[in-house]
Amino acid sequence: MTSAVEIKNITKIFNEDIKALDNLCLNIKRGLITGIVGADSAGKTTLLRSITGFIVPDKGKITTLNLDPVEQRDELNSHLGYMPQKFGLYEDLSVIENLELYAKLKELPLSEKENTFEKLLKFTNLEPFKKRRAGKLSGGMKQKLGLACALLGSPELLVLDEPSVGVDPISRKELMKMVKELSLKNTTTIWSTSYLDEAMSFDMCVVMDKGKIIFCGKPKELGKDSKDFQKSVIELMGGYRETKSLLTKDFELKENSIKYPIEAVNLEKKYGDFFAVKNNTFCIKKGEIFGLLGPNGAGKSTSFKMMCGLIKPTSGSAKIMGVNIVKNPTKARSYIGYMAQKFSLYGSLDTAQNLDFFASVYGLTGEKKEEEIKKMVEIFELEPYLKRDTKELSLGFKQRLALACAIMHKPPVLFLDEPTSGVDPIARMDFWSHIKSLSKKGVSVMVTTHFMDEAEYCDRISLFFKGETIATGTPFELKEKVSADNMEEAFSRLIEKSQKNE
Amino acid sequence: MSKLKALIKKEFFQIIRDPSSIMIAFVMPLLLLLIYMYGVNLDTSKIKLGLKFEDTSPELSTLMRSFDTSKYVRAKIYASRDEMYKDLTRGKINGFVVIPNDFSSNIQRKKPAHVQIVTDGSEVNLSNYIKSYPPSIIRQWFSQSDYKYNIQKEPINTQIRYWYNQDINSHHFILPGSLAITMTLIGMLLTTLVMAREWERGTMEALLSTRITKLEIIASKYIPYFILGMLSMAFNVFVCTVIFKIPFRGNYFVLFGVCALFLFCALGIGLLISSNFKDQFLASQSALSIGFLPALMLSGLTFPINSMPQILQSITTIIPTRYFVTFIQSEFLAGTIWEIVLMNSVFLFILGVLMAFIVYKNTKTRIQ
Repeated sequence: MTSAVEIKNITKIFNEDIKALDNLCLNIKRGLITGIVGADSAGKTTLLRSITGFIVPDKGKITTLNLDPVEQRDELNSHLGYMPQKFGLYEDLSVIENLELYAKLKELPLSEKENTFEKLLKFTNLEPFKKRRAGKLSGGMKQKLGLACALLGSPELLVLDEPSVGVDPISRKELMKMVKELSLKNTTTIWSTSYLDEAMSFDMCVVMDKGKIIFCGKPKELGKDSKDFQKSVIELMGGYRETKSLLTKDFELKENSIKYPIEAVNLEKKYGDFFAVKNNTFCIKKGEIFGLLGPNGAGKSTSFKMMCGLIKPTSGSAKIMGVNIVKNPTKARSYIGYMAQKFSLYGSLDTAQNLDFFASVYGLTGEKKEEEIKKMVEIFELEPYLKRDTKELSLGFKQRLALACAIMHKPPVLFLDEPTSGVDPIARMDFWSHIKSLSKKGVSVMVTTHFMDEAEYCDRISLFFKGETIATGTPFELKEKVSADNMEEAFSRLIEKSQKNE
Repeated sequence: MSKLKALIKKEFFQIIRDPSSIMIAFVMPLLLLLIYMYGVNLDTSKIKLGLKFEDTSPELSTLMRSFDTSKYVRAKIYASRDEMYKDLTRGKINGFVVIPNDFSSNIQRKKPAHVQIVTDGSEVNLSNYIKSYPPSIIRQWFSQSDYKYNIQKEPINTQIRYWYNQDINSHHFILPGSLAITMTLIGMLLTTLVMAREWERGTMEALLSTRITKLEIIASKYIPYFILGMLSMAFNVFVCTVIFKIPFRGNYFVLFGVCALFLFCALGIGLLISSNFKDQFLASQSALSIGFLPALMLSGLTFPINSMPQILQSITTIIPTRYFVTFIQSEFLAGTIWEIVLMNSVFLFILGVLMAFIVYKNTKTRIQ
């Protein structure tokens, strides 16, 4: 078998001291799907960009499809389908207009256009949304459309840069199916991801760490099933030592006798005729970790925002520590620690300034503030990054800092909205060890996630679909219910079941 | 060619669906024109003038009336000087005129008659008016009064006519000039955002992995915004001539021809800024500070270029707005003067081509 991409000793250095790629060698075989896995600053994107000629490496040589990506980029582009991290779609353009544009740019012959469009729209189930603007599609749909655009013109090489960040397991499966069925037999696919379960299903798997390749081979070589695989990958990346979170030592809540710190009663949100959330009722016990799962657009974020008083519910009520959030938002919010989907930190402030700012916002002053900040720095090991602008931090550290900012005022209730999207496995495990210790200290946690392995950390799960709760229970109960082996299967089956019942 | 067409079509879709471009092209200039029309006025309506008649001869009552009925001054007659001094200090009047005791007797005796005029020098513009208005009022009064036979006619009789702008209405030159400033802002703002937007939203990466060439990307940015800019110009000219009734003595073909050259420059500056900043916010901030402010200060509209220090004068030669201001003012007020049209066009053309060249060189198709 010949190679689609040959890389010999490439090095790329950014800003004079950050080695994104370090003397890296790699051969990618033709006609296979190769997954690139690694922590979020491992150099995955830089590698993909070097392969496509977007970045010129400082040293070394790359041959892509027998072409030099630097000198013969135009030639290479005509054999290339590339989907960048944000999907590369024009949000102001409709689905069909995006396709038309990329078809023209890729010089797709007119005769093939009709057929190709029909096939793609049918496969992606985007046919009914043809006229909808790309900006108004759900995450899963955007990703499919992005891939459809990349697939136009039957590329020999398909490069996908983290296509599945923030996308639910069902959409991810569909994406994989799309790549497998719609690309040609001899098409080579390079796919970077931070989902290890996804990497398991590729033909080949490349694990990167600090600009180097630490494993290259069949995923089976690393483990029989995804759990095994995950363990081996983490091992390869230096391993994860579960240390007791320092939070257990230093974090003390004020005494309270409230049994259900979070309560939602018949919560509903309507946009026009459309129910974003329908009749949602749940109670979360003290110290419980409650997971909200569901496909993109199921109404998880809307529920979340209603619970913290950012969106006013159409009907129903929500109580935080017994205080009604609609009637008394300021008091209710003072009990909440909130971590948003996008890190709401100030990118141009450094770590210390962010901590200081959030401490002040939460009403800490003087010595108490200093003490609290010092503690957070110690617990989350932020010392070396205090003077760095937060926008330069890796995702994992941003997320640590965001958590630190959210719990500085010792809230009895913690809301986490997709806190780990795009974060690598080790950083995620670390993050969850903090969350678990917080819950042991009596903090009630409500969390949304697309990682099914994370769902297992929850005490109780509510599965959300089309604005309604379709199942609640412990992870074990949910799996039992549909006799599934793992959460991912349970997730798909429960949703299928609910679709059939309609 | 079909790729370029597809890109241009895309750009137009974005213009139509994103209201900000339309705001920049039509709402913003309308606001600016309204400000220039009703907010900026270089003609002082009625200056406030104090009058002290120490000469109380009844013949001077007609002079008093002349001051009173003049459309340039609002006169207030004071009984005591002290009062008048105080009012000047307090800023209640901009200056005063004292007609001394012996004014009419001197005229009758065919001796030079003196008048004292004092102005508040802290307001330079106003004091210039005060310097010139009262003497002309007095002169006019004199030529019509009974005293006119007392002295022989002045040997030299000057008559002032304001050509090209008979009413000395400053709007007639400010508004066309402000069109130039407005077009600078529009041209730059339209394009500063577009490249930055593609980078910020990640679409540039997708574009660059297709068979598109650099030239096509740049052309697809120039052409739609050029058309939008010309439409905006047409709209502005319509507002000026039809709604604000500013006289236009030139030729519309010449006006839009030179405007096209100017837009070519302005869009180029915008694209240059845009291709150097990958962040929309930074790009628009720098458009204001590196593009708009120099255009406003150094174009010759607000401050005459001749009175600038030499170094600033040489800087103005690379500011396209300067040439457009000169051209558009003469085109509106004096009609087409080919010498002015051609000279300014040549400069605009050179700057435009230069800009396009730098844009081409600066547009990156790679990261770092």
